[in-house]
Amino acid sequence: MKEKRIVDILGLVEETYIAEAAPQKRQMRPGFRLRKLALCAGAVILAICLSFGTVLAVNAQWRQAVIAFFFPLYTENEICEIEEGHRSGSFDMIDTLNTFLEQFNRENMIEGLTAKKDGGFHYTLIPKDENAVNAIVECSPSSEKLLVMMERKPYEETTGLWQVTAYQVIDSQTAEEMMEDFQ
Amino acid sequence: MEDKQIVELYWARSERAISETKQKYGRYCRSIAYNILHNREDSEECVNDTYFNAWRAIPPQRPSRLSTYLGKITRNLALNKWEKYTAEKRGAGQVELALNELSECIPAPNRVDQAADDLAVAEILNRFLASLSKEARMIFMRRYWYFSPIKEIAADFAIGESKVKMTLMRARTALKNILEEEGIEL
Repeated sequence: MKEKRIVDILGLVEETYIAEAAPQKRQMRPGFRLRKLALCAGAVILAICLSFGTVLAVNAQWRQAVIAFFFPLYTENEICEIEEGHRSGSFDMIDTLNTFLEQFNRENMIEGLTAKKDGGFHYTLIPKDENAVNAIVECSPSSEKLLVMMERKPYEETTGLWQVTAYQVIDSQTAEEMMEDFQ
Repeated sequence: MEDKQIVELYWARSERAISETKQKYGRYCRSIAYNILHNREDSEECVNDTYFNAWRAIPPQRPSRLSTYLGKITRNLALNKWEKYTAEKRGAGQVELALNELSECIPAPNRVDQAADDLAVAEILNRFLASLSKEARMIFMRRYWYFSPIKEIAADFAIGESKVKMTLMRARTALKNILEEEGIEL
C-alpha cells in the first residue's frame, strides 16, 4: 500500500527535523497581546461613554453638574436648567425674557440676587444663532449678572415659541468677556 | 526535569518516570495522536500506550532525544489505529489528506527490496529537507510528520493558509524532481 510506505519513509527522517518542527505551546504574539488589551480598554471606554451619555440625556440634575464641571469659565455657579414642561413661552423673545425675569425676582429664584429693574430690565442680547439667544441681565448686587439662555422651539404653524431653557449666575468680568467676544 | 533525568528514572524502574513524561510530553504526544485520529478517547489511549511502550523499551534503550522518541512511538501507534479506522471506513483526521498530497512524489512499492529502497528514499528525503529553508522545512514536517491541519500551521507561523499551501506545493515539486534525478521511478 502506497500510503503505508509514505508513512514508513516519513518515520525514518532525521530526529533533528522532527524536533525542530514540533508544535510549540501557542504563545500570543506580543502585538496580539497589546491589541487585545487595547480592544478591551476601548470596549470599557465605549461602555462608560454610552452610560455617561444616557444618564446625561435623562437626568437634568446630572446634566447641570456635568456642564458646570466642563464649563467652569462662566462662573462657579452651576447652570440651572429649566425642565421642559416648566418653561413659559411666548412668540416674542423680549416678552419671554421679561416674563422670566419677573418670575425670577418674584420667586427669588436665586437667593440674594435680583434682576435690576429701573424703568424696565437692563440686558444685552447675544444671539447664538437664528433660534438661540443669550441675555446678560444687570442684577443687584452689580458684581453679578444673570445669564439667561433662550431658544426658539418649533410650534404649530408659527415662527416658533421662545422659551427660557436655562439660567446661570456669572460674574461681571465673565459677562464683559462674553460681550467682547460677541462684538 | 531534564530529559536525561527522566531517562534515568526509567532505568531505575521508578514509576515517577511515567508521571514526569506525562507532565513534560503529554501535550506533545496528545497533539500528534489527535492530528492523526481526530478522536479524543483514542488519542488518549495512544498516549497512554506510548508511556507503556517507553516503559518497556527503556532500558535497554537510552534515547538521546526523549521528545522525538516518544513522538515516534505515539505517531506509530496512532497510525496503526488509523489503519484500522480506514479498514473499518471510519477514517478521520489529516492523514488521508496529507498522504494524498504526497503520494504523487513517492515511488510505488512493487519491489522486492522495498525496505532497502525505503532507506534510500529516506536518505534522499533527509537531504531534501536539509536543502529547504528552515521555515519551509518546518512547515513540511508539520504537515507530513505531525499531520497538522493547514489552518493550524498557518496560525502557528503567523502566515496565511495560501502561503502554507504554496510552500507545501513547492516542496513537493522539489522533492519529486530530486527523486526523479536520483533515478527513482515514480
